[in-house]
Amino acid sequence: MVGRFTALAIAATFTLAGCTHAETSIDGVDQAKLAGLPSDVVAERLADPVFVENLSGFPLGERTGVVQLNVASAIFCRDLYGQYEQWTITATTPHVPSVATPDTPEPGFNEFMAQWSSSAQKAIDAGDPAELRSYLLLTLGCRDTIVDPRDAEKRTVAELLEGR
Amino acid sequence: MKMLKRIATAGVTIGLAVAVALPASAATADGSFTATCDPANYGFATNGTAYQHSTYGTISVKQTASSPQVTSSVKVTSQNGNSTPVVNVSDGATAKWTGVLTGQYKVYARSSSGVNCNGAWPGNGNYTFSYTITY
Repeated sequence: MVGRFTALAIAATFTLAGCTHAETSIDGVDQAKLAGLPSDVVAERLADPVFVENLSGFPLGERTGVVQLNVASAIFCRDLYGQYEQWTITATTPHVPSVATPDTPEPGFNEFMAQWSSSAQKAIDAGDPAELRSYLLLTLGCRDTIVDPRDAEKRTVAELLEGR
Repeated sequence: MKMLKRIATAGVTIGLAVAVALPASAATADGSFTATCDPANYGFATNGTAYQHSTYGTISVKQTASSPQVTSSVKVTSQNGNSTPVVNVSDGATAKWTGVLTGQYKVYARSSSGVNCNGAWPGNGNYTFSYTITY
């Protein structure tokens, strides 16, 4: 069975190294292959209990790629949300965020992020902030991304856009 | 032993991950896999089948049958580990998520609460979750 004890195992394998630097260890995740991605975002995503539970449902061999994509897409969504806000305030037309890419992308990484970039480009090209807002609210896209991890309330893109 | 056999069967099923061909519009497919009746100790299961959702819109998963009969918690997960909210469904009921981004998604399920699916054998055991997905 997928996930047999994995959530517990993952929770049990969190390790703290030193007093000022936290390092997360998760079964199946090759830390070396996360090089090139911002370490603070990597640590933040690997500390998100919802993501960690979802990650436990993936085969061990796929987990590194899932983490790479989750980190890159979180950065992508935060950037795009910020640009949407600027668009509505200053009328500055957004651009598709550059993709944070690990030094050694797992198979499927480039294709996945290219698809996200393409769909975001279409939303921008529509020339209407409402289109980009709708894009940001799509399920399984940017909708549930925490905009600012330092925010104590951990508000998501949807919560901010919908005023919740 | 019965539980171990079910776990082994699930492992084989999960190993046979299949990518479904791109549909031009909403498509449907049937599937099934073994999931836990002990959500307090075991995670969500999947059969590894990936469905290509090619246009923005709704994805729904109907629990067509469960054996033994249980209420399932169901979610759909993306390649980047994002997931839909979990929806509980019984036989004949449908979980639905609207406004879904295009992408390749897998169905996950487990019993919504602890249920004895294992008779006199130790532990709660597993059940067979059967579904129809519209994507």
